Amino acid sequence: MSAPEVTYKPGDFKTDLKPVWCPGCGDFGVLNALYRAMASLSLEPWNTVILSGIGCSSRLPGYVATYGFNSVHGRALALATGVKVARPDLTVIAVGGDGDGMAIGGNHLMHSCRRNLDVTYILMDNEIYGLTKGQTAPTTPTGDKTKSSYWGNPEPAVDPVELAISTGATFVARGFSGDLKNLTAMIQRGIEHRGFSFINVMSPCVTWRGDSQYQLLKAKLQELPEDYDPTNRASAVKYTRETDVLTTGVLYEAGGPTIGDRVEHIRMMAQEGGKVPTTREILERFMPSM
Amino acid sequence: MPRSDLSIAMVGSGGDGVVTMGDMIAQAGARDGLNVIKVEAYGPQIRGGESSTTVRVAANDIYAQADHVDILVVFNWKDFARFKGEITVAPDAIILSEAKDETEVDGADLGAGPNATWIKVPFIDLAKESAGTTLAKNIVTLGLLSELFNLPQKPLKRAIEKKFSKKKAEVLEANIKGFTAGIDFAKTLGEDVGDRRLEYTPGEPRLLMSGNEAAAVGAIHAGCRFFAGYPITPSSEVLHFLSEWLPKAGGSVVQTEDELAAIGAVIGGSFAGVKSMTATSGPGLALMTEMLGLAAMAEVPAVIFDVQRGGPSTGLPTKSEQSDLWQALYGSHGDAPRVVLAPADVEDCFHSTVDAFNIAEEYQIPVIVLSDQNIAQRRETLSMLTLDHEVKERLAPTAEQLEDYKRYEITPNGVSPMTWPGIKGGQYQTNGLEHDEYGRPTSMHLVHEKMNEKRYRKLRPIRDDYHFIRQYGPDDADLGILCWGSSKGPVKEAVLKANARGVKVAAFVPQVLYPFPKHEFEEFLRRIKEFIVIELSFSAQFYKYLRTFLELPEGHTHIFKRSGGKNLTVAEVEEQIAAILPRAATKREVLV
Repeated sequence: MSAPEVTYKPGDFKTDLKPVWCPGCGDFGVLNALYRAMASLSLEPWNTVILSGIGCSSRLPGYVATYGFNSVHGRALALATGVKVARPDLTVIAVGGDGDGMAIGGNHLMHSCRRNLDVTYILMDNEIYGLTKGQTAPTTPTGDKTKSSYWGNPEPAVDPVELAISTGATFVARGFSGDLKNLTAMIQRGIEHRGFSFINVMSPCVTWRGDSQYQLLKAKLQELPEDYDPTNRASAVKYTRETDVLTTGVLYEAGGPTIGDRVEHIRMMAQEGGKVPTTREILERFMPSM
Repeated sequence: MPRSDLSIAMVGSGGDGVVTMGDMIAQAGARDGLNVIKVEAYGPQIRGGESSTTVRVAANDIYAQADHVDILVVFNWKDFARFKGEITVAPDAIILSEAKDETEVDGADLGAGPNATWIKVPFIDLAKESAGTTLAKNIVTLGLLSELFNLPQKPLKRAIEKKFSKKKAEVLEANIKGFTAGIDFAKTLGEDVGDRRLEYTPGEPRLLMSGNEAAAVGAIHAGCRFFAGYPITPSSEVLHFLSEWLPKAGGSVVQTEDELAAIGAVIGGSFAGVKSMTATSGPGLALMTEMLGLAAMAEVPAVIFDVQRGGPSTGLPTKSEQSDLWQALYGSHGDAPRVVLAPADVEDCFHSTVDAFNIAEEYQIPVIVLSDQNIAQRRETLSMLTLDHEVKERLAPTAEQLEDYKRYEITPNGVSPMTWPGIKGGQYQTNGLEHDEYGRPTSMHLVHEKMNEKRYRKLRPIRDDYHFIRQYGPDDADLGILCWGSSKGPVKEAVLKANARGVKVAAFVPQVLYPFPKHEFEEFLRRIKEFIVIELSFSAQFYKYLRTFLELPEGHTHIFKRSGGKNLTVAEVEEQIAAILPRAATKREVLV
């Protein structure tokens, strides 16, 4: 790969839209980390696509001067699948919240992981529905009182990281929106990774979870040990099972072909030397052959 | 007198090879330049169970399967009972059945009259004696049918040779012996069936394909290079064909986890600048309707090929109906413009799909093609399709427009220049939210009003540029029939037959249902005395749709509608013509 001709500053990726987020929202940290990661990777804005579903965090594509698509609830990865398979030359990033990605769009995560879709998926996890004003999410801790669980949340929470590892993602990380430096590096690694990279960013909601969530998360977060081996799936799973701490860092990283590689291989098999059939040649197949 | 048009139905269990027989007769007919329409029907079993295949072969033009079959082959009457009401024979039909099956059959149940010919044939014994296996029963039958009814014998023999060419030499030899045994047995039959022999002059070979296959080829022709779909009867053949051929054409196929992902991926692929399509049936279209609105709002070209089946819910997955119309016209919340096309036969499935891409790309709008099980899965002969079907591309911005790029610029025809990733300086951030000309989200009433107006404005030029209409019959008809989709076949056949008798009946078949060709249709209404809508929808979706924007002639408008599950027949159309015509004695005073 030749060296990029232009260098970018994080600010180059800003659009003139002001984020709709509340002051103090964790998503500002994620957006800033993304700007920085994109600048240090010198991503060409016109060859980059950012897609999202619906939610507070799904507004993010509007704030980045690449091609962007804020679609419908839960379908960021569905659209990203089309973009990346149809145009494997593009850098594709999907973003969204925990309601969007773990509830209504949960099915697409499993299949994107399984396909090893070469997309970076940043899940901004605030353990609550923010845009609809404070209802229980699949990541809300059991017992928490929310607008939709007056007596306390009766359901256990899902761990997005464990789900991604178990369904075949080849890069799985957990970050914190309040740790700009590490989050930037993590997003950068995720974009560089060939295959499905899943980054679960704990991104507190000051409006519906108050200051306590931020304090609680800060107390629970713990960086991976320096000698941690991310290629060991079993130890990655072990860390996801720990409940009193939330481990941050790249928990799992593996190689393997992407859906794009496999589709390209199929095309090579089918084309037998790059010959594209004309419509008439395709129709010949329907002539009685005897 | 020999016939120029013959319909043959074959019924048996899995393993009897009736589907292979139907294939071979259809192939042989196509090889000899005959017109062929072949349909298959199965029981609910995944494998085995009863199956039937009906082939119509004709020297003259045909537009639908025949109402009644002239020749019926039954290997097992128990299997036949499962198709009661779906396969009826002509009163003078020839019924060939297995000699060992001693079931008492009441001819009236099948539609047979007193002059029907009943022939017991020892299919099993003939196969055993000649080929050494009962498996060759269908091949014996092919020999017998070809000899009795003058079906293309040489092409049939070649089809058998081709089918068994990869097997051991003994297998091929045994089957040829079976075929010959069938021919020889036919010669020994005392019954005179000479008046049922097909008379034709062999011509140039013709294409033999299904509507789903034609649609898939049409997609490739139009430049589709990305397909995402989820398997569903009766549309899966589109996915099957494209999984083989789209990669050959340099494209890619994803079998998604559900229909939500399929339409999402199509919108993504198209947003990325690649012509994209999905195919589905009613239940899948229901899941796609939210994102149909997204494609309308974000103005992303998208082609959705919907093969209708009986509904609601799981309904009748293997049978045809015209009841996805309202869903296609109105599905999705908000004011979501879309285009709805309706192919009326197998060849149309090719052209409608090309048109769907052209409209989608030119006007940046979702296009639904409403096919149905009848034309989707039947195989019929076609002449080499018109391949000069023009292919259109989406409007890209000029360098000057990119200086201050407005993705949703308000223009006279509503179409704004559209970039795609890779175009430097063409970046924009779109959304399903209402947005201004730059694509920036807004919830301002005034912008919403303007943008709705812009998006709907695109429908006007579509209505003016894409009015494919078929009309049959005289200009000043006593009765005018309006129908759509696969109903065209039996309607056309009935109308042409009536015209040949001097009866003044006309038909109007639009292939764009939305935006509806209102002016042309009103002109049609002015020329006729009585009017009838014919459709296979219990709640009369088409008729009621017309009523939302058209004044239909009061006191002179009739309707024939029923549930699907059985294709429309020529006889049903003829009954309507006969019943309504006497009312057309006086010309209406007040027209539309």
